[in-house]
Amino acid sequence: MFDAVVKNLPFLMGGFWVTVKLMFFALAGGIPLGILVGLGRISRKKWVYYPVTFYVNVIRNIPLILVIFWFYFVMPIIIGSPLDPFPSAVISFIIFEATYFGEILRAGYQSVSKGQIEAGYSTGLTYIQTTRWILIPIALRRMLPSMITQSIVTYQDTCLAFVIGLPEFIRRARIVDTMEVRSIQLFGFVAIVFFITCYIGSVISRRFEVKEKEGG
Amino acid sequence: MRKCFIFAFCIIFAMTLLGSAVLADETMDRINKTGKLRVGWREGSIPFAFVDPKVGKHVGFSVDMTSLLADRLSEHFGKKIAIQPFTVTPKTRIPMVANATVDVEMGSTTYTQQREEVVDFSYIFFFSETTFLVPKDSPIKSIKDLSGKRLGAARGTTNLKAIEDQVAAGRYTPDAIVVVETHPEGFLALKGGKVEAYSTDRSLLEGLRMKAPNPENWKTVDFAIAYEPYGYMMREGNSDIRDFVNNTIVWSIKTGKFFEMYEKWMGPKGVVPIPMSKAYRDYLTLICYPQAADWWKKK
Amino acid sequence: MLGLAYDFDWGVLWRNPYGMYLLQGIWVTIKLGLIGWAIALSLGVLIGTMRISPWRWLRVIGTAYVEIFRNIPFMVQLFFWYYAGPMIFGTSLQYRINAIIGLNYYVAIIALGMYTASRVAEHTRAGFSSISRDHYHAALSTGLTHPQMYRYVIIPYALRIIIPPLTTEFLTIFKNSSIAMTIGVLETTFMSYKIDSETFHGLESTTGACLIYLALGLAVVRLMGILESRLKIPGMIGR
Repeated sequence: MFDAVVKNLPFLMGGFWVTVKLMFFALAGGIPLGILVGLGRISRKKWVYYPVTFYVNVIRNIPLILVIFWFYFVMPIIIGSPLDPFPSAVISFIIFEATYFGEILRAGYQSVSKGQIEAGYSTGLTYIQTTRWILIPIALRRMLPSMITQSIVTYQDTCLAFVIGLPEFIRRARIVDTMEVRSIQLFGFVAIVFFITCYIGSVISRRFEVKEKEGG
Repeated sequence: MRKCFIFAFCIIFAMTLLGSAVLADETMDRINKTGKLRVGWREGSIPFAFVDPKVGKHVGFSVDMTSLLADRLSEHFGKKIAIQPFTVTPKTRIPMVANATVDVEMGSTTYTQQREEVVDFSYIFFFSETTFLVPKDSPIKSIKDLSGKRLGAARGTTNLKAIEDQVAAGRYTPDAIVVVETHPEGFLALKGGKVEAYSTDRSLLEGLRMKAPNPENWKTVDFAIAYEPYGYMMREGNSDIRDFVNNTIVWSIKTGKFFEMYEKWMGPKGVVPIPMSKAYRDYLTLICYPQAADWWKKK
Repeated sequence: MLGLAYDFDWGVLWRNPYGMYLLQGIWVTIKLGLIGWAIALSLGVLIGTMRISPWRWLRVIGTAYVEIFRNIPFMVQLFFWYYAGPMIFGTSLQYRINAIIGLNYYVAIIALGMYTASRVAEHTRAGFSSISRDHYHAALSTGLTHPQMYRYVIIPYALRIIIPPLTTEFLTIFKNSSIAMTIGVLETTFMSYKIDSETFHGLESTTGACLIYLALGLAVVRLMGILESRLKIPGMIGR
């Protein structure tokens, strides 16, 4: 039933590895930048808040596919040196996903009520202590499920690197398909691989959500 | 008098410096510095550059030509020049050359004046024509029969432009023009009946046909709608690398390597048998300008 | 340093025929988004309701639908429907389906609708489950029947709760429609590449496309803002 998949398995899995690498780099860059974006979004300094907000609102309203292409063709012209498809894709993912991680961070921060912070101060804790022992633990626990969900979304988004010719999972499935004409099993296989991996991720995310509820 | 002499000497010295700065070829410099030749290959241009999933690597006529080029470059710089491959598509190949992602694109790109404004082309090394691949029993016999059919072509190709231009000129009116990403996908669309005729260069169509499980079920039509001379692409204004590529082509013709490669990919036992016409063979012989036996040596 | 001279030519955004390309692209993007949204909304609300229904097998179907469509990237779904979809119907029917003119448009709209439906379903379910039990009891105690309770109390409440998240989904459907270019649908993103391949002014054409999506996004937010304030129940949505 999966003869074409089995025959080309090393080639296909090589593509899957590219997809995994893309996701790893996108998260490794996207989350730290996202933290900076989140801090910018809750900043009281206008010269920080407005540029960051502008960046977030612009990027979130543009399709990722366009962001990828924009960086791929435009960055070399701006920075004046060539960019390989892989780093180019990684940069676009980092720029794009950081806005989403930043918003999760902001929402997590704002979900901590004023009362909890004030309660912290009233027990005699300093600003740093309040942040360290009250704000960060509560916000982090609230953010974790969304962070995992967004990581899954990032993983799904990496397949869009397809458009700039990166030989990742789906591109390779399409190459094999044109030779073997076994669309059902090939795209079925790709779908199953994505489903299983994403489903595991969503189960983990939900477990954290449940824990959060139990913890009050 | 003596002052004048020193002044003249200074000017000549400065001009030599300036001259060498102007003559320096960024692409050649980068190849020398990095020890890598960044080359753009197609993944579905059979038999020029395509990916063989069994080995997961690019193969083809232009890929072999790249090896020749890398060998000569290694001799030229006196060190190993490795090939760093990049996959290009009809859509990305020109920007990738223009923005210097790749040093040279070696595939099956049609030489056009519009493209020449953005990139530099090597000598023309092959001629093909825009035509259509159809099922064996297709009713399409002449240009007029294209009316009322679903035609396919790949995005960003001269073939698509040729079809669109002729439709605009009113030579025929197809029901739909289906745009695909790569040629194998176009053939897939033809197999599945998404299009009734798929268009690209005849050599590539023959390539697709020969790679199919039953090639006898398909045929290329007898007429052509446009002619396509192929060249390799380099970044605009880098004449050293272009000279080097041209020298490699001429050298390969003179030493017979060109014909060996042609035999390997397009000979009777090749992936896509395309008989070499007399005009084409004459063209190849005629472009061979006089060349030193060790032209690749650094002066 | 490999500096590259670049001559800007913003004329590619309006010059003939490129301006026309973009206008055609915008029209296709709007069509994809609106029709896809109509499918997503009706199917999504239906499935979301199935997930909170008292019948177990309906809940199982609803949950399975949401899990499958959410955990597979949209592009994979699109390829599956476009390439493998017609094959499912067997050899003879496959050619009939493939011969449909504009098949890629229909596939893109349906795939977009089905994918977005899974997300709408999640918001619908969340909306319903956020309504407290007391509302149900209060409605029933005033003498309303079960269908009346849903018609006059629960659904109006739930709809208003889910409007903000649905606004986001409505925005997302326009953005996701750009992925349809991978199967040759001539929408805005595709057209910006087409301009690039004919003029090599990709910077201008992709920037133009970005601005188009931004304008479209602003229009949607504005529209939904009006809708939201019209339907507001005092004390419900704190904004």
